Amino acid sequence: MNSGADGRLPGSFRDPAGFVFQRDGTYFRQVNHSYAATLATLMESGLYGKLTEQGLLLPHETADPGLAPEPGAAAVIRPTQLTFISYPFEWSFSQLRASALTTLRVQRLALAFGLSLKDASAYNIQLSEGRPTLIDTLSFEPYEPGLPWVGYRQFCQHFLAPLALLAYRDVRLGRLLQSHLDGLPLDMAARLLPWRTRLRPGLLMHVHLHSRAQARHADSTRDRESLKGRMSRRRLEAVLESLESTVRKLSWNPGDTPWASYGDQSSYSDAGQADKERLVAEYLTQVEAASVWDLGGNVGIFSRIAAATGVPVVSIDSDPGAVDMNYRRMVEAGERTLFPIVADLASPSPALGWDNREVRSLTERGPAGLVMALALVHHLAIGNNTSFERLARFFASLGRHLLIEFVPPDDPMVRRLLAMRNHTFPWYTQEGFEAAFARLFRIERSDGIADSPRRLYLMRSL
Amino acid sequence: MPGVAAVGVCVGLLTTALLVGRRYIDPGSGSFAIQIIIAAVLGGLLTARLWLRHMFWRVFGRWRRSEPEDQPSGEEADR
Repeated sequence: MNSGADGRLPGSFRDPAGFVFQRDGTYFRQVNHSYAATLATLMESGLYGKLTEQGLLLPHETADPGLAPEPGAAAVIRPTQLTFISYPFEWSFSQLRASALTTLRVQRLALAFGLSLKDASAYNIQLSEGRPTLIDTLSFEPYEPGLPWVGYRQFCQHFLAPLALLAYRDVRLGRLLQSHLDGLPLDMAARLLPWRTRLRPGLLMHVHLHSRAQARHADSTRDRESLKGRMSRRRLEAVLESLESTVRKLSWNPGDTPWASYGDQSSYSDAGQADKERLVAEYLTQVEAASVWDLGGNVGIFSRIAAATGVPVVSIDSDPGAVDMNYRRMVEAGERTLFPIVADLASPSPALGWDNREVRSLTERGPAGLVMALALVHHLAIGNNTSFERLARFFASLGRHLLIEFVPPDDPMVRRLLAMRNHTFPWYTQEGFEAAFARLFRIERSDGIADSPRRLYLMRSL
Repeated sequence: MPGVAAVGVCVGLLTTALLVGRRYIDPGSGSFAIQIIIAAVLGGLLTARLWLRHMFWRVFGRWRRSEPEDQPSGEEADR
């Protein structure tokens, strides 16, 4: 990860309570004096134990305070190291929904222990052990009786409004979060949502009326002090309950998207599919990579074969339906090393935020030990008009080893892709593929798939 | 009649919120203001619900063998 000269992460600069920094590949968090008392309350009240026991907060251990890169450190903590960071615009509907519920559960538990979340950023939630988990230990503040929840606006913008848009309009609108890092403006969400969402009490209150209230109070000079004593704890709990109930009622069915049923319409016979699965498992054992990125992972059939070796697997697909099915299967099976994300390989997630360094691009989050590109080359080469040379360069930038499938020009799927194109692809041949990739990789192994014209290759970058 | 009063307050608060005009976008005080209104509405509805439940048991409880002992009053529940 790119970090400053002192190891400080560029995306961790807003919180006066502390920041994340890196030392020799390990991530730490500096806790400033201003947060020392709150951290003590978190640890000693029993809240930390309760949250970590339920998998809601990333556990940490105390580290040497001498590691602190800046003055003003009260403590340094070493959180459990995360395997892969993903961002809300890469999450499927179900992951965003589960992350919203995690945030609300943390806030409700925090209140019971006299603390409150001071923000509700979706960027504070990451998958750890297969569960959405709050990773920011510095997100708490003492609960001041009578004060409304300061994270309410952010919760509605980061979670509720996007979830409503995905559920009621189009699941592809999740990509809007890429251009709105502080969540969707509520006036925009209110305009985009269908009128019938005004008949849903939760959405009426927390999105539509909330948006109007923001406009109404734009020139208000009210400060935080003036809000004290305005909301009893019971009423605050009623608001949280209402948010939770609104989120729980939002649903989306991935069955309608084109790729979500792709796994069922396989291009292979049963024997071919079994042989491909066997070969992929063999290649994985041969490489013993520490991490795998499965590009075009669809619903995660081959990602799971990789995950069975015990390594973290990032399963990437451009279809939110397929990724949602992948996520749901992961939750049902209790899988802990899988990271299903939505990303378009023809336009991977870019670097974003302040100085383009707060949110890292997809490629910056690599490299992986092994990149899998199964039944993908024809989509990128023909569907996206990308030469084999460019593909080889892209894959080489993502990982050391490459497990790739070549789909020949006479394959029915390739013929379908070519059917509507107004020019042919004379360079799309097995010889052209091997020659282009041999410039950047050493081909270590190659096998034909039984009962299929397709071929698998295991390569290692030069 | 605390339940009826609570429903009246809820309707009034929601009407006020609906009649609010649209000006500039401010992410701070408007969110607090609507949260306070929503909390009052939800608190009022809860009070009304508990009061109605309480009244139901008072009226119809006599035909039951025994009335539940722990029906809280609306004010207690909203505290």
